[in-house]
Amino acid sequence: MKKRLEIYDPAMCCSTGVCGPSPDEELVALAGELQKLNQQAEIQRFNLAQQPAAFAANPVIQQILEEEGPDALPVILVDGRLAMKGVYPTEQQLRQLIGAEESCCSDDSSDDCTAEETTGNNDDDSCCEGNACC
Amino acid sequence: MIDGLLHQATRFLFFTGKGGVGKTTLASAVSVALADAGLRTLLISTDPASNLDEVLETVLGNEPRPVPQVPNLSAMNIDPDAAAAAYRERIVAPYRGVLPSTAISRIEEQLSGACTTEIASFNEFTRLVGDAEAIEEYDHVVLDTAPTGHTLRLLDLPAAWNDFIAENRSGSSCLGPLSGLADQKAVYERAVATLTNSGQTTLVLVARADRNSLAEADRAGQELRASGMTHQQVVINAVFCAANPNDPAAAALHSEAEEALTRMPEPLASLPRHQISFRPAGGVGVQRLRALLNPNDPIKAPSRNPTDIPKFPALEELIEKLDQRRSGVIMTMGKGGVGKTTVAIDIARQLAGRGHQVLLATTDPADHVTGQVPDRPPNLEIRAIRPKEETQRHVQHVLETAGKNLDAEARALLEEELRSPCIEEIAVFAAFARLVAAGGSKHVVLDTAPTGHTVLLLDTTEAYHREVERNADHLAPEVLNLLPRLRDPEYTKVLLVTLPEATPVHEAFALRDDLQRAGIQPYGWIINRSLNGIPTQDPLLQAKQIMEVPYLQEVANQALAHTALIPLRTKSV
Repeated sequence: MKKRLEIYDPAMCCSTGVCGPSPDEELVALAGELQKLNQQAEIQRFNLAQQPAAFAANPVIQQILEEEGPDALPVILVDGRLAMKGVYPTEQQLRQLIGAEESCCSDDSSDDCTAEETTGNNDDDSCCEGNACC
Repeated sequence: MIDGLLHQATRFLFFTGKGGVGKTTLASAVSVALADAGLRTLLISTDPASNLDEVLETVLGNEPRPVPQVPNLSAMNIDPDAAAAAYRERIVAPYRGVLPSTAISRIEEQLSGACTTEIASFNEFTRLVGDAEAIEEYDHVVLDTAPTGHTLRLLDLPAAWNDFIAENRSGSSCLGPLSGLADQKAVYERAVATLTNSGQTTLVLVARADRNSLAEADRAGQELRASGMTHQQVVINAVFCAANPNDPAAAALHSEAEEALTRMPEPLASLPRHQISFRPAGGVGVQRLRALLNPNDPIKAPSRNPTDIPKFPALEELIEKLDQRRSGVIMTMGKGGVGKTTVAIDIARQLAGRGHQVLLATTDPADHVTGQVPDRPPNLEIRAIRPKEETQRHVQHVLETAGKNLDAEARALLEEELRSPCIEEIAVFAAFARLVAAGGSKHVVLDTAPTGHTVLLLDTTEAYHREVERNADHLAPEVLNLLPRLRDPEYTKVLLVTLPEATPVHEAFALRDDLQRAGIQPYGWIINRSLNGIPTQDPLLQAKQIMEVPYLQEVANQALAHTALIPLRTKSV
């Protein structure tokens, strides 16, 4: 089952922020990353300035906006539950959130997965922490 | 005279031309004539710096209102700020009380830039051209548009937007403030279809009988033809005819006009042409508008001599002051057509002549600067801010910085978003910020675009400044320091250029107020192309001299630190 990742962006002109006064590298990278992961998870992005309806319709987001105001954005939900707040995920965090560690999490059952896990660095909390994808 | 235009008038008459050529006056005069002939007429100004109220002597609004002195005529201004406010409200209104007010104001802020303002105006404009119901009660709709560049954008934007929406692969499109328009596509397409239908729309190119103005009209005509507006006519406004060929000033003006008309460029010269004689009284007020199109109207010279003609120092005195510093920004601002560029060139040359390092730059979309300084000294650098080139440069820069570590796919996405119609605005803004920053080490003389555009630029500056303060860590210092620099009266000297005529003077006052509201204190007035001080016996020119006096007095009463008067220059005077 694909995970559902929702990103609630602050009010901005577009997903990469390139039409703001200065492009934000982090946003540009994130937009590219999301596009790559598009196959592996159901990804949706909402911009406060353009899709306020999505913010109004989601009780989790509503509550955060009520309590903390728009500076709490961005907010990232995974399967409807709060996953991150106030910052954008790094590439690695993003993969964790949607449980997409290239090979170990692919649907096709896999020798690759085992191989990857055994060769991978077990010290870091790479793909298997928390999200139980493996 | 202009009968050919009136008798076979198409339903839509679209007046365009460079600032100051008399678009509004002619669009108004033609509208009054149509209404006087019993045709129900709607006159719409889309110029962000419209002076329609003054010309028609009435207070207009965002919706058609009857013009009191002219039965059958209604008029309206598309006020960009009001249109933008309405546009924002339409997006935000459903969420008031649903989302917290802090979130609402963030949305509003994001929708406060110049791009939103332009889009909102455009939206209003297309509604009036593309929505049959909105204008069904009118026989004619006369459009008095902003300078050519804006008109072109009006025509090209819907196509650009459509392409942009259609080509957008990712769906995460950088539509920016355009996103609120998705449902309007059909209206745009109808609007463009109307404008490009030669049976429905006539493009009226307004020009003056001088070489630059005619060249500009020719270029505009060609560009607009390429955008599909093929039914074109040309009106030459304020053609001067000397009463006495022995009067040097009159003879010089006469022969310059004649020469410009004989050398009119093709294809402009082949278009159906109308000529309007020079009127010392101009075209402000319904009575004068009616007289303007009436060739039999006697030209009455004012009989009484003015007693109190204010005296102003020459431009050189102002240069003396500017000469005392080694660097800083000098901005010439004012309504289109008042001669901002000429004044900027003059100041830049004189400062360079006194040995300063000078950078002369123009943000006028229709720039002429580069060609006008044939004998450029090495310490005078000239740069034009050309929106297309700035956009390319900006895109390149973004791809090399923010995009440098991206893989092919992410880079493609970034490139796609960089095709957003709003990028141009950002690019021009960045170029402007760099130029202002350059004033730290030399004299930077900036000839800014026409009033409306300048105000938009300043609004943008303000809106960005708020955003800038939130994102200070990854912003270029020139952007961060732009507004403080513009507000520093030692760093930036704003010169308000005007002509000794009603509209330019009143618009210069309005611009001064706008600037002061933005925390920028203008440094001085420059009254350009005054006939006062020019010896002449020509009755028309003498009449004009007298007509100028009240406006000279108005400027004299609105003192700024400096005022300078530049007399009209003709080749032989």
